[in-house]
Amino acid sequence: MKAWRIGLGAIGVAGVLFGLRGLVLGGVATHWPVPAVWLVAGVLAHDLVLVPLVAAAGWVLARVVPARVRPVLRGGLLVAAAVTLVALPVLSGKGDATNASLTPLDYPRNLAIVLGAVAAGTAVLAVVRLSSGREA
Amino acid sequence: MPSPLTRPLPEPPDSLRQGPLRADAWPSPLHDREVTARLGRWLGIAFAVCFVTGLISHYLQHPPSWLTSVPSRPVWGYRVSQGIHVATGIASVPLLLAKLWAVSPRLWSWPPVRSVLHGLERLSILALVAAALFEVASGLLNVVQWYPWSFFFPRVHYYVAYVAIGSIALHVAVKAPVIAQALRRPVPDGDGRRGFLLAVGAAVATVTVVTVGQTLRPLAPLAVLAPRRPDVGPQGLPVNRTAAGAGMRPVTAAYRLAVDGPRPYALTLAELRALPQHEAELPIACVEGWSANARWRGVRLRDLLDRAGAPAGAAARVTSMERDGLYRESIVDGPHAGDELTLLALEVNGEPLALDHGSPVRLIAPNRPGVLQTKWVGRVEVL
Repeated sequence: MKAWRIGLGAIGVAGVLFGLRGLVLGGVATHWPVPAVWLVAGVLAHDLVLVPLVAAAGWVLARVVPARVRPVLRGGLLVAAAVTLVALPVLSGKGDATNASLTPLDYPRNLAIVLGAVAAGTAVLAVVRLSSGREA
Repeated sequence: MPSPLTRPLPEPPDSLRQGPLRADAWPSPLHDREVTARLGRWLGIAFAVCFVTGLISHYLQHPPSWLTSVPSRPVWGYRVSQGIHVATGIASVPLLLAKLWAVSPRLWSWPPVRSVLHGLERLSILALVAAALFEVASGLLNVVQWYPWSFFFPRVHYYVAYVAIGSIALHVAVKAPVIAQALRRPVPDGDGRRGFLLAVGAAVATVTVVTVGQTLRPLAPLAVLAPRRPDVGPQGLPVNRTAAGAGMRPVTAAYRLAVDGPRPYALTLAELRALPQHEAELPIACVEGWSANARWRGVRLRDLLDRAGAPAGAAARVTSMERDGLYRESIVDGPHAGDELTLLALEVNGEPLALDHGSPVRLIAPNRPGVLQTKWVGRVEVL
């Protein structure tokens, strides 16, 4: 194994240990059992909820949608899902309620507009692809 | 002769290989190495950028003892670095999820643990995934100031960042030959793999366009899903901590600005206004990733310190009239205290400061995080 790989790996291990040490020794500021729960919960939510949902969507897509437009539709869904995830915090209505400059917009309406634009773009691409007759 | 680290461990019985563990459970070509390596490259760059800009912000906001002096220029330094931090973090949402999707069959690889070394590598991947998801998710919640937990966000976000970047470095070191090989091979066309990478790019572009206007003023009209608009707030300027949140009321005629130093003195509001007033166009740049320029007018901090007999290059402590609050006082280091643009501002955009912006007097200095631009200032000390 090349020296740079060993060096990079060692730096990486040191970084991980420094971070864990800081969490554990951080006292009330880090309160390490709480971030530990959040860290594990994030992995579980991803691996046991999000990934199965995406896999199920892909399974349905593969059976319902013609192969030629499948990548376009998959792409449209991916963009829509990413935008929705990013918008969840502003949609939540959380944060300082006395602060009118925080989350000042009509976010449900704005998300609907963005998703509509994504859907329209996806539809145009799908039509182009179907009419051009090009294989995926 | 295999070492104990690499000696094969006994395989579990094949009858346990069910569901997602089956060899044919993940048929999609999107899970291959060409796709994974490309997503990983972009995600790695994004996390490196987030780590560096995050360290800058952390050290500016909570200066360690060795950091006694930070350059006060460029004026837009913190604005750009923190804007990049948050924009890159938001762009990481689709990048991270796409990368994890590409490698999701590896979670169900068979046998689960081939050797002790393989087990250790899988543990490091667990640390990587957990830390990466945590950093992106907690950062996203912080930008709307939503704290559904009982720890201090900046500290935990900081330490978990080391776990994330460290496990990424280790991962790259372990996988370097595989990554290099995969990046040399082109992504095959015709089975959706290129389309997938394009879609991830489109997702990155979309989430960026609908949020980055909170700091990039020309794109403000497109920032329809950003938590802030640079022109929405009292006097056309966003607010982080409101007067109501800080328990502040308008001051009375009894207000005095106390200036402590070798020659201490106190000023009424009228006396402050009678001093030479200066203008500065400076951004408020918040750790949450928004920023907005404003025209400030007030007294130079340097003039007040000089009058108190401060030696050249002296630092200062500026204290708010708030009763509590993490950022009730801030240290203005030598370069910032001496900068002609650093003001104790009485006006913004041609009007007396609104109470939410720190009326009657607030600190405004170049290249400095928003939380250190102390509002409702009651006291200035020469250090």
